[in-house]
Amino acid sequence: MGIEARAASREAVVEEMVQGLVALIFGRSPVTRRVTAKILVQAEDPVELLVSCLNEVVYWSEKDDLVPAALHVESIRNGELLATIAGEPFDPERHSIERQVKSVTYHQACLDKIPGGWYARVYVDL
Amino acid sequence: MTVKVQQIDHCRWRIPREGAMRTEGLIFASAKMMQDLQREQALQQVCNVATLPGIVGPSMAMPDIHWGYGFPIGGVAAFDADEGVVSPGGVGYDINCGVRLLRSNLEAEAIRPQLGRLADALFRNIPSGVGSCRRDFKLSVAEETRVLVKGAAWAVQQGFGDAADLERIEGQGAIAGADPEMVSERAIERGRAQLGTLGSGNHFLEIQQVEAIYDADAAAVLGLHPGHVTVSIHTGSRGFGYQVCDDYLKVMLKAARKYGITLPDRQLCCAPLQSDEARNYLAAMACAANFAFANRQMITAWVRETFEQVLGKGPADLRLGIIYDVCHNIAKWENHVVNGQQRRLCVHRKGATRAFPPGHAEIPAAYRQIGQPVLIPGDMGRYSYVLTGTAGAYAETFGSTCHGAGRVMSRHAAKKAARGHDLIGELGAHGTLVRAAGRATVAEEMPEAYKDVADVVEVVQQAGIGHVVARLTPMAVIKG
Repeated sequence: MGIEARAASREAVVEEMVQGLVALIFGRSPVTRRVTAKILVQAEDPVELLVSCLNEVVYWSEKDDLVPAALHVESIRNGELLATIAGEPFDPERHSIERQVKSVTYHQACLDKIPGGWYARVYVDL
Repeated sequence: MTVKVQQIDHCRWRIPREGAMRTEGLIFASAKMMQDLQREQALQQVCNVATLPGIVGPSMAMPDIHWGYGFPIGGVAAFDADEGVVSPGGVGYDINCGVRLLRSNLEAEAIRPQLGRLADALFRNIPSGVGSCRRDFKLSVAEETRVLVKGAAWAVQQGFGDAADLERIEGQGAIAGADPEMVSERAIERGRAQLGTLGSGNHFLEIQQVEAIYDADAAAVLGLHPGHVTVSIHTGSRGFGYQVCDDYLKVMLKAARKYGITLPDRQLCCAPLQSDEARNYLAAMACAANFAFANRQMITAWVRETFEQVLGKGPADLRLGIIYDVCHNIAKWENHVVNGQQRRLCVHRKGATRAFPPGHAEIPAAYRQIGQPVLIPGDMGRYSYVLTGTAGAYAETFGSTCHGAGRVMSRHAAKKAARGHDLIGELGAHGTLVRAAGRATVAEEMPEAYKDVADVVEVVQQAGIGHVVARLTPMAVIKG
C-alpha cells in the first residue's frame, strides 16, 4: 500500500504524508492533540529523512501513551528533521486501529521538488 | 517495463543476464502465472537482486512470486561467504515469519459440534489483531534477552510445551549467533508487549482437517491421517523483527555507500558478508528469528490448553504434537555444492521455504527418510498443503521451495472487491468459521486476493522442488 502527497513546501508535504499514515493506521478515529513529543531524525539524504520520520510515527502508533494525530515539522536542515508530534493517550473506547503497519519502506520512496511545490511517495509494509 | 523472459520448460523461465546483472534470473511458474507476472514489478525485482555482489547461481523466484519490497516475495538468492553480501531486504521486515503445523488424534467430524466454541476460545486465548496481548503474561527486559538467544527452548523452559517439541522445529527452534547487544532498545521495547501474539495482516491460526493424502507412506511418518484435525499457526517476530529490519536498513544504506555497492533499489541495501555491518545484522536477525520461534511455541501451548479446556480431554487423548515448524523469511549460512564444489553460502529466502531432501543431517531423525516437511498455507477459503523437500530442490534451488499462495490482488483492490460481500458469512456457508479482530483484515485477506495454492504446488511438484504429501482444508480461522 502506498501514500503520496503534494504540498507547497517540503515541510508541509512531510506533514501531509504523516496525515496519510495516521489515517492508514487509525482510520477515522478522532484524536485530539493534547499531548506532544519532540522528534529528531537524522539521515544521509532527504528521502531517508522522510522514511525515518514516518517510521517514528509507526513507532509512536504502537505506544499507548500517544496516538498520533498530526506532526508539525519545525525544520529540515543538514540531514536532520526536527518536529513535534501531537496526539493523545490511546483510548480503546474512541480509538480503533485499522491495521498494523510493519514499517515504511524505502522502495520507490521519493521527496521531489515539482512545479509549484513538493511531491512525496512511500510504500508501507503491512 | 517488460522483462525479457525465455521459457525453459513448462515450469521454468530464464531471465537472460543483461545490464548490471551478475547472473541470470530463474523463475518457477506456469505459462498463465508468467502472463500475470509480466504485468507487475516482481520480475524486475528478480533482475535487481541479480545485480548484488557475490551472488552464486541464479537469482530465483518460486511460483508464489509477487511484488515485494526490494527482493520479490518468493525470492531465493545465495551469496558467497567471501565475495557476497547480506541484505535485510532479502529477509523482509517479518524476520522468521513462518508456519507451524500440529497434528492431533481428533477426527474432524467428532469436533464439528464444538467447533464454534473452540474458535471462540482460541480467539479469546490467543492474542490476535493489533495491540492485543495476554494479561497474564509479562516479559521483563532481562527475560526478553534470554528469549532472543534461546528461542523456542526458552518457551519450553517456561512451561510452554515439551522438550520433544524442539526436535520438530527448523534448527531446533533457535538460530546460532544471536547477540542481543546488536539489537536496539526500541526493538526490545516493541518486542516486550508482542511475544505470544499472532498479529494481524496475513497471520492466522487455523483448525484444519486432512482432506487428501497423496503419499500415504510419508503422511504416516508425519502422523497425518485422513479426516483428522490439524492446527496451523502462521506468525513471526512481530514488532521486534520489524524494528530490527528497519534499524539495519539504515545501517545498510550507509554500508552500501561505504563499500561502493550500486543499488538499483534502496530497499536492496546490503553489506559485504565479511563486514561488521553484516555480522551485526546477522546477529540481530538471529535474535528476531529466535523471538519468532518462541512466539510460535507459546501460541502452541495456548492452542493445546484451549483444546483441552473446550473438549475436556487430556494431552494423551488429543496428542497435539508438532509436525514441523518452518521459517519462510530468513538468511542462513548453509553448505551447498555448486558446480561440483562445496561452497559456504548465505542463502536468503524471502517468502520461500527451506526444503532439504531425504537423508539431510539437519532434518529431524524421525523424518530423515522422507525429507524435510514443508508447510504451504493457502488462503482461508480453500486449502493448504504439506510437502517434503527433495533432492531436486537441493540441487537446483539451494534446497528451497515456495511458501504459500502468493497475492494476486493488492490489499486495496481486495478491499474494494469485498465491498457488498459478507465474507465471514460466505466463508461460514462453505464450512469455514472465521473469528477476526477486524473486518478490514478479512476483506484484505479474502480468498480471491490469492493465487490458488494448488496451482503453485503443482508447479513445485512438476519442477521437482517439492513433493506433495497431503492437503488440508480449513474448518475455523482466527485472524488478527
